[in-house]
Amino acid sequence: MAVENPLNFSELDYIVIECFHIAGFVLAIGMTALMDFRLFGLILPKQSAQQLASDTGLWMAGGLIVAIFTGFMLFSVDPDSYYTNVTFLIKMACLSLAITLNYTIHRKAVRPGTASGLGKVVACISLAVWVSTVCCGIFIAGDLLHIR
Amino acid sequence: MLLTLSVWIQNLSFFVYLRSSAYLYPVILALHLSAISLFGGMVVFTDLSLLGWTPRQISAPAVIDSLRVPKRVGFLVAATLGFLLFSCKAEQYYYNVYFRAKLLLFAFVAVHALVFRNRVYNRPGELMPAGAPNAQVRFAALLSLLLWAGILTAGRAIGYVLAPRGLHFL
Repeated sequence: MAVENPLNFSELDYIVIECFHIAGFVLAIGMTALMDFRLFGLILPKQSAQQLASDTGLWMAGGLIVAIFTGFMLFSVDPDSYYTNVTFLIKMACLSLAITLNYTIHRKAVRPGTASGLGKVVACISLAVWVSTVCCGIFIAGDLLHIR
Repeated sequence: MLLTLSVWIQNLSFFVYLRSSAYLYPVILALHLSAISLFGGMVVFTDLSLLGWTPRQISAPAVIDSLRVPKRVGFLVAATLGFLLFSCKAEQYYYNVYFRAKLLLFAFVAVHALVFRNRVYNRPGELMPAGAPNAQVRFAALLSLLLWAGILTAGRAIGYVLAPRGLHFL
Protein backbone atom coordinates (compact mmCIF):
# COMPACT_ATOMS: atom_id res chain seq x y z
CA MET A 1 0.00 0.00 0.00
CA ALA A 2 1.38 3.36 -0.98
CA VAL A 3 1.61 5.79 1.91
CA GLU A 4 1.69 9.46 1.01
CA ASN A 5 3.87 11.81 2.99
CA PRO A 6 1.83 14.92 3.84
CA LEU A 7 5.00 17.02 3.91
CA ASN A 8 5.27 16.54 0.14
CA PHE A 9 2.08 18.51 -0.37
CA SER A 10 2.47 21.45 1.98
CA GLU A 11 5.32 23.94 1.73
CA LEU A 12 4.12 25.66 4.91
CA ASP A 13 4.30 22.42 6.93
CA TYR A 14 7.79 21.83 5.55
CA ILE A 15 8.97 25.32 6.59
CA VAL A 16 7.47 24.89 10.08
CA ILE A 17 9.30 21.56 10.50
CA GLU A 18 12.51 23.23 9.28
CA CYS A 19 12.12 25.98 11.88
CA PHE A 20 11.70 23.39 14.64
CA HIS A 21 14.77 21.57 13.25
CA ILE A 22 16.84 24.77 13.48
CA ALA A 23 15.47 25.65 16.93
CA GLY A 24 16.27 22.12 18.12
CA PHE A 25 19.88 22.15 16.97
CA VAL A 26 20.45 25.72 18.13
CA LEU A 27 19.36 24.54 21.59
CA ALA A 28 21.46 21.34 21.46
CA ILE A 29 24.60 22.90 19.98
CA GLY A 30 24.20 26.10 21.98
CA MET A 31 24.12 24.20 25.27
CA THR A 32 27.09 22.02 24.25
CA ALA A 33 29.00 25.13 23.17
CA LEU A 34 28.40 26.69 26.60
CA MET A 35 30.07 23.62 28.12
CA ASP A 36 32.94 23.96 25.64
CA PHE A 37 33.42 27.66 26.44
CA ARG A 38 33.46 26.72 30.15
CA LEU A 39 36.11 24.06 29.47
CA PHE A 40 38.15 26.79 27.74
CA GLY A 41 37.71 28.91 30.89
CA LEU A 42 35.99 31.67 28.91
CA ILE A 43 32.73 31.78 30.87
CA LEU A 44 31.53 31.15 34.44
CA PRO A 45 35.07 30.69 35.87
CA LYS A 46 33.78 30.59 39.46
CA GLN A 47 31.34 27.76 38.74
CA SER A 48 32.39 24.20 37.97
CA ALA A 49 31.88 22.59 34.56
CA GLN A 50 29.85 19.92 36.31
CA GLN A 51 27.41 22.50 37.71
CA LEU A 52 26.95 23.93 34.21
CA ALA A 53 26.47 20.41 32.83
CA SER A 54 23.65 19.83 35.33
CA ASP A 55 21.89 23.01 34.22
CA THR A 56 22.30 22.48 30.46
CA GLY A 57 22.11 18.66 30.14
CA LEU A 58 18.36 18.20 29.88
CA TRP A 59 17.90 21.12 27.49
CA MET A 60 20.72 19.82 25.32
CA ALA A 61 19.10 16.38 25.16
CA GLY A 62 15.67 17.92 24.50
CA GLY A 63 17.03 20.03 21.64
CA LEU A 64 18.81 17.01 20.20
CA ILE A 65 15.63 14.89 20.26
CA VAL A 66 13.63 17.66 18.50
CA ALA A 67 16.41 18.18 15.92
CA ILE A 68 16.71 14.45 15.15
CA PHE A 69 12.95 13.86 15.00
CA THR A 70 12.31 16.85 12.71
CA GLY A 71 15.44 16.00 10.72
CA PHE A 72 14.00 12.56 10.05
CA MET A 73 10.74 14.18 8.90
CA LEU A 74 12.65 16.42 6.46
CA PHE A 75 14.63 13.40 5.25
CA SER A 76 11.38 11.47 4.66
CA VAL A 77 10.29 13.96 1.99
CA ASP A 78 12.91 12.70 -0.47
CA PRO A 79 14.96 9.83 1.05
CA ASP A 80 16.34 8.67 -2.32
CA SER A 81 18.04 11.96 -3.07
CA TYR A 82 19.40 12.27 0.48
CA TYR A 83 20.74 8.73 0.34
CA THR A 84 22.75 9.50 -2.79
CA ASN A 85 23.91 12.89 -1.48
CA VAL A 86 27.54 12.55 -0.31
CA THR A 87 27.33 15.70 1.82
CA PHE A 88 24.30 14.29 3.65
CA LEU A 89 26.21 11.07 4.40
CA ILE A 90 29.17 13.11 5.73
CA LYS A 91 26.71 15.11 7.87
CA MET A 92 25.32 11.90 9.34
CA ALA A 93 28.87 10.73 10.10
CA CYS A 94 29.69 14.07 11.81
CA LEU A 95 26.41 13.96 13.76
CA SER A 96 27.02 10.39 14.96
CA LEU A 97 30.54 11.35 16.01
CA ALA A 98 29.31 14.51 17.75
CA ILE A 99 26.64 12.65 19.75
CA THR A 100 29.05 9.84 20.67
CA LEU A 101 31.72 12.32 21.80
CA ASN A 102 29.14 14.32 23.74
CA TYR A 103 28.10 11.37 25.88
CA THR A 104 31.58 9.88 26.30
CA ILE A 105 34.76 11.97 26.46
CA HIS A 106 32.86 15.27 26.77
CA ARG A 107 31.08 13.94 29.85
CA LYS A 108 34.39 12.72 31.29
CA ALA A 109 36.10 16.08 30.67
CA VAL A 110 33.43 17.80 32.76
CA ARG A 111 34.17 15.74 35.88
CA PRO A 112 36.08 17.51 38.66
CA GLY A 113 39.79 16.81 38.69
CA THR A 114 40.13 16.52 34.91
CA ALA A 115 43.26 18.26 33.64
CA SER A 116 42.32 21.62 32.11
CA GLY A 117 44.52 20.93 29.07
CA LEU A 118 42.56 17.78 28.30
CA GLY A 119 39.30 19.69 28.78
CA LYS A 120 40.42 22.29 26.23
CA VAL A 121 41.33 19.62 23.65
CA VAL A 122 37.93 17.95 24.13
CA ALA A 123 36.18 21.34 23.82
CA CYS A 124 38.06 22.06 20.55
CA ILE A 125 37.06 18.70 19.07
CA SER A 126 33.47 19.06 20.24
CA LEU A 127 33.07 22.54 18.71
CA ALA A 128 34.74 21.46 15.46
CA VAL A 129 32.52 18.41 15.02
CA TRP A 130 29.26 20.24 15.81
CA VAL A 131 30.11 23.19 13.53
CA SER A 132 31.03 20.69 10.78
CA THR A 133 27.61 19.07 11.19
CA VAL A 134 25.85 22.43 10.75
CA CYS A 135 28.02 23.33 7.76
CA CYS A 136 27.33 19.96 6.07
CA GLY A 137 23.61 20.60 6.63
CA ILE A 138 23.87 23.79 4.56
CA PHE A 139 26.08 22.14 1.94
CA ILE A 140 23.53 19.33 1.32
CA ALA A 141 21.83 21.70 -1.14
CA GLY A 142 24.03 21.30 -4.23
CA ASP A 143 25.94 18.39 -2.62
CA LEU A 144 28.94 20.70 -2.27
CA LEU A 145 31.25 18.16 -0.60
CA HIS A 146 30.83 15.67 -3.44
CA ILE A 147 34.17 15.81 -5.32
CA ARG A 148 33.35 15.01 -8.91
CA MET B 1 16.55 55.85 -1.36
CA LEU B 2 16.89 52.54 0.54
CA LEU B 3 16.30 50.71 -2.72
CA THR B 4 19.02 52.74 -4.49
CA LEU B 5 21.37 51.97 -1.60
CA SER B 6 20.51 48.25 -1.82
CA VAL B 7 21.25 48.14 -5.57
CA TRP B 8 24.53 50.02 -5.00
CA ILE B 9 25.64 47.62 -2.24
CA GLN B 10 24.87 44.42 -4.16
CA ASN B 11 26.79 45.67 -7.18
CA LEU B 12 30.00 46.49 -5.30
CA SER B 13 32.68 44.27 -6.82
CA PHE B 14 33.25 42.42 -3.52
CA PHE B 15 29.61 41.37 -3.28
CA VAL B 16 29.39 40.53 -7.00
CA TYR B 17 32.34 38.20 -6.36
CA LEU B 18 30.73 36.63 -3.26
CA ARG B 19 27.43 36.14 -5.07
CA SER B 20 28.97 34.45 -8.07
CA SER B 21 31.21 32.10 -6.07
CA ALA B 22 29.83 28.56 -5.91
CA TYR B 23 31.39 27.96 -2.49
CA LEU B 24 31.85 31.28 -0.67
CA TYR B 25 28.16 32.13 -0.34
CA PRO B 26 27.21 28.72 1.17
CA VAL B 27 30.27 28.89 3.45
CA ILE B 28 29.16 32.30 4.80
CA LEU B 29 25.62 30.94 5.23
CA ALA B 30 26.96 27.90 7.11
CA LEU B 31 29.11 30.11 9.37
CA HIS B 32 26.11 32.41 9.96
CA LEU B 33 24.07 29.43 11.15
CA SER B 34 26.97 28.12 13.25
CA ALA B 35 27.36 31.52 14.92
CA ILE B 36 23.59 31.57 15.58
CA SER B 37 23.87 28.17 17.27
CA LEU B 38 26.70 29.31 19.55
CA PHE B 39 25.17 32.73 20.29
CA GLY B 40 21.61 31.33 20.56
CA GLY B 41 22.65 28.94 23.31
CA MET B 42 23.82 31.87 25.43
CA VAL B 43 20.59 33.83 24.94
CA VAL B 44 18.41 30.80 25.65
CA PHE B 45 20.43 29.73 28.71
CA THR B 46 20.27 33.26 30.16
CA ASP B 47 16.49 33.36 29.75
CA LEU B 48 15.99 29.80 31.04
CA SER B 49 18.03 30.69 34.12
CA LEU B 50 15.94 33.83 34.66
CA LEU B 51 12.76 31.78 34.35
CA GLY B 52 14.11 29.25 36.84
CA TRP B 53 13.67 26.47 34.27
CA THR B 54 17.06 24.88 34.97
CA PRO B 55 18.13 22.83 38.01
CA ARG B 56 19.69 26.12 39.25
CA GLN B 57 23.12 24.80 40.07
CA ILE B 58 24.26 28.19 38.77
CA SER B 59 22.32 31.31 39.76
CA ALA B 60 20.76 33.59 37.14
CA PRO B 61 22.87 36.63 38.22
CA ALA B 62 26.08 34.63 37.68
CA VAL B 63 24.87 33.51 34.23
CA ILE B 64 23.91 37.05 33.22
CA ASP B 65 27.20 38.54 34.40
CA SER B 66 29.36 35.93 32.76
CA LEU B 67 27.53 35.75 29.42
CA ARG B 68 27.05 39.49 28.87
CA VAL B 69 30.25 40.04 26.86
CA PRO B 70 30.29 36.64 25.01
CA LYS B 71 26.69 37.29 23.92
CA ARG B 72 27.71 40.64 22.43
CA VAL B 73 30.65 39.07 20.59
CA GLY B 74 28.44 36.23 19.30
CA PHE B 75 25.79 38.66 18.10
CA LEU B 76 28.40 40.79 16.35
CA VAL B 77 29.83 37.75 14.49
CA ALA B 78 26.38 36.42 13.47
CA ALA B 79 25.22 39.91 12.44
CA THR B 80 28.37 40.58 10.39
CA LEU B 81 27.94 37.30 8.51
CA GLY B 82 24.23 38.13 8.09
CA PHE B 83 25.16 41.52 6.64
CA LEU B 84 27.44 39.81 4.10
CA LEU B 85 24.55 37.51 3.07
CA PHE B 86 22.17 40.47 2.79
CA SER B 87 24.63 42.53 0.76
CA CYS B 88 25.01 39.84 -1.90
CA LYS B 89 21.30 40.10 -2.72
CA ALA B 90 20.38 43.42 -1.09
CA GLU B 91 17.76 44.43 -3.68
CA GLN B 92 16.00 41.05 -3.44
CA TYR B 93 16.03 41.26 0.37
CA TYR B 94 14.64 44.79 0.21
CA TYR B 95 11.45 43.37 -1.33
CA ASN B 96 11.36 40.27 0.90
CA VAL B 97 8.54 40.52 3.43
CA TYR B 98 10.20 38.08 5.87
CA PHE B 99 13.45 40.05 5.79
CA ARG B 100 11.44 43.15 6.71
CA ALA B 101 9.74 41.17 9.49
CA LYS B 102 13.13 40.03 10.75
CA LEU B 103 14.42 43.64 10.88
CA LEU B 104 11.24 44.70 12.70
CA LEU B 105 11.79 41.93 15.27
CA PHE B 106 15.41 43.12 15.73
CA ALA B 107 13.98 46.58 16.45
CA PHE B 108 11.71 44.96 19.07
CA VAL B 109 14.78 43.23 20.57
CA ALA B 110 16.41 46.67 20.86
CA VAL B 111 13.29 48.05 22.58
CA HIS B 112 13.29 44.98 24.87
CA ALA B 113 16.90 45.74 25.80
CA LEU B 114 16.13 49.42 26.46
CA VAL B 115 13.15 48.57 28.65
CA PHE B 116 14.53 45.63 30.60
CA ARG B 117 18.30 46.18 30.76
CA ASN B 118 18.18 48.36 33.84
CA ARG B 119 15.04 46.81 35.29
CA VAL B 120 16.04 43.15 35.01
CA TYR B 121 19.31 42.24 33.35
CA ASN B 122 21.53 44.68 35.26
CA ARG B 123 20.18 43.75 38.72
CA PRO B 124 18.77 40.23 38.70
CA GLY B 125 20.03 39.62 42.26
CA GLU B 126 17.68 42.27 43.66
CA LEU B 127 14.72 40.94 41.69
CA MET B 128 15.29 37.33 42.65
CA PRO B 129 16.15 37.52 46.36
CA ALA B 130 15.06 33.96 47.11
CA GLY B 131 15.98 32.66 43.68
CA ALA B 132 12.35 32.78 42.54
CA PRO B 133 11.78 35.10 39.58
CA ASN B 134 9.08 37.75 39.94
CA ALA B 135 6.52 38.48 37.22
CA GLN B 136 8.61 41.19 35.54
CA VAL B 137 11.67 38.95 35.29
CA ARG B 138 9.59 36.07 33.87
CA PHE B 139 7.93 38.40 31.36
CA ALA B 140 11.28 39.81 30.18
CA ALA B 141 12.77 36.33 29.72
CA LEU B 142 9.73 34.86 27.96
CA LEU B 143 9.46 37.87 25.63
CA SER B 144 13.16 37.54 24.79
CA LEU B 145 12.73 33.84 23.92
CA LEU B 146 9.67 34.61 21.78
CA LEU B 147 11.40 37.46 19.92
CA TRP B 148 14.47 35.34 19.12
CA ALA B 149 12.28 32.41 18.01
CA GLY B 150 10.44 34.84 15.73
CA ILE B 151 13.74 36.08 14.28
CA LEU B 152 14.83 32.49 13.63
CA THR B 153 11.51 31.69 11.89
CA ALA B 154 11.55 34.87 9.77
CA GLY B 155 15.17 34.18 8.85
CA ARG B 156 14.33 30.71 7.57
CA ALA B 157 11.26 31.97 5.67
CA ILE B 158 13.37 34.57 3.77
CA GLY B 159 14.68 31.81 1.52
CA TYR B 160 11.21 30.71 0.45
CA VAL B 161 10.15 33.97 -1.21
CA LEU B 162 10.75 33.99 -4.95
CA ALA B 163 12.86 36.87 -6.21
CA PRO B 164 10.87 39.48 -8.15
CA ARG B 165 11.72 39.91 -11.82
CA GLY B 166 13.92 42.68 -13.14
CA LEU B 167 16.50 42.89 -10.35
CA HIS B 168 19.55 45.04 -11.05
CA PHE B 169 22.35 42.47 -10.65
CA LEU B 170 25.59 43.25 -12.45
